[in-house]
Amino acid sequence: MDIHKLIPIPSRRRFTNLLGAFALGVGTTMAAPATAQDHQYSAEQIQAGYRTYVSQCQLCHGSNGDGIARVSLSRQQFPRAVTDDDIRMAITTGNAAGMPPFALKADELENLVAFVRSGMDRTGTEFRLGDARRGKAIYEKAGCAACHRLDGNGSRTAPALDDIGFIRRPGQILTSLTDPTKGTMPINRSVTIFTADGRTIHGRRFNEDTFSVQLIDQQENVLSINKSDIRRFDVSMTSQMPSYRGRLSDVELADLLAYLVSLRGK
Amino acid sequence: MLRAILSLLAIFALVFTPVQAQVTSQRLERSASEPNNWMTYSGGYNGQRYSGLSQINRNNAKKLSQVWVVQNQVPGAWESNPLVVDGIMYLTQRPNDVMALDAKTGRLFWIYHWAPDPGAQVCCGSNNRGVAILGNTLFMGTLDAHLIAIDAKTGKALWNTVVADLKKGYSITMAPLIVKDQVLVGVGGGEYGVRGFVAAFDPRSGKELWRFNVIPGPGEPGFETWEGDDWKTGGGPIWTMGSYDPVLNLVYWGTGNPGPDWNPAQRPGDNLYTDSVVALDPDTGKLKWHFQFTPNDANDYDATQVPVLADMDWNGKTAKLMLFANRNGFFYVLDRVTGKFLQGTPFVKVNWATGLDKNGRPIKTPLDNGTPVWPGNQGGTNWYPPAYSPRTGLFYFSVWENYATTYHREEAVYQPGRTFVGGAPAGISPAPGAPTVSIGRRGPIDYWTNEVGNGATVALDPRTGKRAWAFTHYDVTDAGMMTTATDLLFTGGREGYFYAFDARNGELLWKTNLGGSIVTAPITYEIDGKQYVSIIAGNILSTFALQD
Repeated sequence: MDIHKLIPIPSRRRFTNLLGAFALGVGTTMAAPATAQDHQYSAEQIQAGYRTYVSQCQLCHGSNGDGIARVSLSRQQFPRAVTDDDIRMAITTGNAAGMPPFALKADELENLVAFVRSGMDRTGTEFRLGDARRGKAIYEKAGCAACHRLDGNGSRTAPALDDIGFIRRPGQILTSLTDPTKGTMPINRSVTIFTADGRTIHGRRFNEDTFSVQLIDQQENVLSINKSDIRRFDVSMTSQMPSYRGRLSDVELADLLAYLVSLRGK
Repeated sequence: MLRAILSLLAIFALVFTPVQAQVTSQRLERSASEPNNWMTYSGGYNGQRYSGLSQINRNNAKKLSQVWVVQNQVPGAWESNPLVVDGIMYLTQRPNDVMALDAKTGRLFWIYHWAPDPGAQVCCGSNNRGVAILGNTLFMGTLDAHLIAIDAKTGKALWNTVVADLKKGYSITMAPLIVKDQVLVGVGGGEYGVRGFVAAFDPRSGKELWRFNVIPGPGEPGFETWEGDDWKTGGGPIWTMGSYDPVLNLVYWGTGNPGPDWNPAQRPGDNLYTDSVVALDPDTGKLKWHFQFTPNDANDYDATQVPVLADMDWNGKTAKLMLFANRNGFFYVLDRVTGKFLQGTPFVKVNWATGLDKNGRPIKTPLDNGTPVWPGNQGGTNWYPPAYSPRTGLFYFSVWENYATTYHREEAVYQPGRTFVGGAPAGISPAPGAPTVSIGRRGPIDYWTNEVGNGATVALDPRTGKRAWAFTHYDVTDAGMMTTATDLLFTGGREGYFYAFDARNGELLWKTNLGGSIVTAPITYEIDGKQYVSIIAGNILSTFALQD
């Protein structure tokens, strides 16, 4: 298998699904999943849900959850479903777009919902989603904007969070909150560049290749530097973000996570 | 006098190939004598991707500049390998279009469009890797497993034959291979429990002439390496280009993974002839010899690399060799007359085997479930076409290094036309606990950096299996190779750079940023005394020549 080419071939079935979705007046939604209720998803549930997924869902939804047009299970992108109950309903009753109903045991259903809500996290990082509205207040109170930017406000030192709930799984975001060094995406590590002409640049990369690096420095200058002009290039393997485990209570963390998960871009 | 003129004309006709002559199989066998053309996938039957052209050399390569571009209107990785015959380029684009264009200007003559059945299943993208030419006819395999003959002058189909049943998961992504007035083509479907094969077709009628099943049936040699009915879903697709030795009258093919991919416990035995190279009699399709690289494969180590045929000095004698850099992380040298194993060395970190025994059989390491396996799922290398230069004696290929994959393995249930893989790779990472990334394309922004592995362009000395030189890419690379009589090596990578290296020592002579991943191999050709080099990057095919 040559698995790194993942563009699916055009399929009549998918086209029909697309028409079906529009006929019902519901296109793709990037809207936030409602997280008014408190949800706890355990590692055991998520991992068991994965097994159910492989045997029951993977055939159509694919190993990455993107086998059906306009649906991305890994990115919480559903034509209709918003709440966990909506997901349960879709699984147990099927839908007009062609999804058949599945008769699952109660625990299988719960596990499957957990797996989908985890963004298809096969490693099964447990997480809890609280109240996104309260989470927004915690975001403001905890001082996240001192480093992160959101909705045009805050610093650009750390990555902007406008679509963090779309590009990262809940478990990954939680890890970034509680163990930032472990949770950081490699591209976001802090770098220090000493140029051949004597400048020292502290910043965060956007991109890097064999010959160059693109980054934003602490003065928020966007730079592209040729590696041939670099004398020394240090990548910090330790995140400068503090851990919020202990700084925030478990309930506050769950609320903040719910808020961050709801940030899906505009 | 008239007779004298006529005989002079006859001699003239023999010496100078007329423009747009028929492409005979004799011409294909002698392709090295007309380096102005690139008439087969590999540029020649030996799979070397070595061109005798010499206008572009190590001194002037820095003067390469773009001459023309053609844009593909179809999204997705563009893995086609163009042919150029007598000034005309034949090129495919997704899913199954063929284009004929003026190789000097890029202007189009025609496009042939085939809409594959939407039920066609391809595990990893609706790729097509090119056409073959014989006479005035082009041949293309399709995603829905048809073989189509197309008039090279008009772009109209001449015949269209079904090679295999798409409902069972068969597909064709490879370019066909012309051997002795037959069209040879293999099938994909290793993730759907197919029974892989390569078959020969009559170029005039499309009638099947013979078929070699990669998985032997009851009563055939090799059948004993399967238990029960496992052979029926044993896989072994043939989805990349083979090679052909006209003197030995043998055609060679690398074979793909057994089914299900990741659960070897479900198919005990060596699972012949999966993950092997097979030597076939092209007149009958009968097996002459085989060599299996990875018995009872657990890691999807398809042997789907182009077998490179080289005649070189081996222990003081000129020997007919096959050079094979395998997805499983070992580089092999075989005697291509007999299939005898001569040497094998790992070219990347390997932990699924501690080495090879004297017959080339891997000495496997038992690995617990969840243990990272090196090389990872994409292998140490993959289908990316390698090259060999008889001048430098070096073998060139793209390598993925410093990464591993952990696997989830489970029982697979066979249903026709549905995935039959027995688990899944759980992403790739350089070490346990390190950042894990799915194997999907990283795109123009490299989120994961070189922490999850990197690529390299490697020149290997086949005599020792050691690296003569390597150029390390920051990202991984799926690019193929092409080398020339002036000791240039052309290749690229995912970052979108197109490179010309000094093939002898790896010195970077020239590069240009084409802004899109290079996931295929360059070709070169000559028209009206000018040498051109073409490469596909992203959604463009770009052609270069020296500035006037």
